[in-house]
Amino acid sequence: MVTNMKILQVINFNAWFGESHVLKDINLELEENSITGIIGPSGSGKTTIMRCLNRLNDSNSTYKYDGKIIFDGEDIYETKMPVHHLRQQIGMIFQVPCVFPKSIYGNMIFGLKNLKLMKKSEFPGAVEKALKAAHLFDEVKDRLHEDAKTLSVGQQQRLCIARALTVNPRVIMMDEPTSALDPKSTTAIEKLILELKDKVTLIVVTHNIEQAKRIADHVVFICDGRVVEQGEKNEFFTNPKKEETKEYIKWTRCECE
Amino acid sequence: MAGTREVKEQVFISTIALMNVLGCSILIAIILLVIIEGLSAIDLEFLTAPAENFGAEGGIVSQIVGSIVIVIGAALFSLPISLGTAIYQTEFLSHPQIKNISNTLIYLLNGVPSIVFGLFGLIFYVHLLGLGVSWTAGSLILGTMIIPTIIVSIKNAIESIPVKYREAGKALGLSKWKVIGSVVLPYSLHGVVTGLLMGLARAAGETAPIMFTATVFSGILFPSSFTDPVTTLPTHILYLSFEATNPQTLVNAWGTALVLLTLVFLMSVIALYIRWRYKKW
Repeated sequence: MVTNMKILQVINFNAWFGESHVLKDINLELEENSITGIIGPSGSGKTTIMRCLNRLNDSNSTYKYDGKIIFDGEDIYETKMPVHHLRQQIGMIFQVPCVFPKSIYGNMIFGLKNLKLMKKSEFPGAVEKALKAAHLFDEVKDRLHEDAKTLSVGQQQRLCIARALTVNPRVIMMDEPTSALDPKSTTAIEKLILELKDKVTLIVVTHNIEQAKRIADHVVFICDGRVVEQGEKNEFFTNPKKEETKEYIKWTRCECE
Repeated sequence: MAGTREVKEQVFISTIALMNVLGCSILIAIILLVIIEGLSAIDLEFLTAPAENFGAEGGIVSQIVGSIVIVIGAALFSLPISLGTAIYQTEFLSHPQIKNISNTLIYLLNGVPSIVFGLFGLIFYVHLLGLGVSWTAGSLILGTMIIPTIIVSIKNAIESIPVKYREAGKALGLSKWKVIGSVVLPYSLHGVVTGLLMGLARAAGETAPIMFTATVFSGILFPSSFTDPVTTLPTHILYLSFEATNPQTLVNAWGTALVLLTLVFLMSVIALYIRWRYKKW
């Protein structure tokens, strides 16, 4: 087997908001073109980890960190690379789909237009490609200029994924991407996530253990800001090492809550 | 016992209800009075002809034009300063104490009596900058005066933009400036326009700051250079009321007041409409 390259490494990472120590000695490694599922109770720090990876926490004036996050061989907090370049390469999908109050097309070209990645004449082709990758094209091809808010929530979430794809990220992080969706849309998004693995590396935060079982290659269990256990999916679910992990897999409950 | 409490409550409610009626009727009384007294002066000639015989005859076209010119000047001066301040405060200023201090200063600026702005303008714009008694000086003074109104309106609009839009922009890889240009500005535009119109509505009605810095009573029709003075609607009312010995002058003062009131109301109504119509969430 080919040893995959590590695209993201989190090394002894700690984070604070003011006095509150929210991430404790986090160590993670993400293989390229894999799906990492992060599970854990709410408030355990799942979302915070992702927001550290694309430095979205930076705007919080009480945020402090210690440790390293290496993306593509460079420490993201030390590099001279501007933070928006990092965020272009590490896309993020939010829990509640966030479409701009614009048309579907306007949403799709939002990143392209602002990042000037290509000529304007190339936009329609890029939009079509991304919408097809997100399996949304057939549903919206005749109404591209309608308000994006007219889409169902599930479609909006796929629009967000398509929009993220337009700027060619190498990693896409998803923060409980299906928690606001109905079962049918959830299945659609999960299938989409599995397909996207060929193009990008994915991190999916979920509080749904079954979802992690269905989509993840590597599972990380976080509780109270600490990685309790992590490992290859089958190993993790069939043969968990820690008592807390067994308890959580069975009852979705953790002592640390 | 419960009976007395209910009676007390009823008395209290009736009292404040009466005050409410009183407050509203004052406004209605003012508007009605201006309309009734003013309408008799207004005809096409009044709106299109220049004043004659010291305002006793003719119309107020140069006052209308003067007011519009001075207000447009105020807009051009105050908008960039207010926009810059609001964006700096919301997007770049993170130090809480400095933020507090600059907020307080802007709030206090709003409380400075308009006559003080006039005095300041006389010394600073008219004499120090050598603009003389001119519409330019008037525009700068009125512009300075309404800056706080516009800043507060823009800041409120910016701060009410849901965080998710900014974060969605950032997550796509937009730089800070791009986020300002494609999220912050477009989604706070209603606040910019509303604040500007409300500020200008106030500026259009001000007399004190411009009566000795920008305006003359007569002798000028339309300004032809930056250093020309103008005649404006509010100062015209002031001068006409001074001459109240001639009954026709007073009628024309009411007519001018009605025109001014209409102008100011129009701006306020448009401001309210834009705030209601273009707020997207």
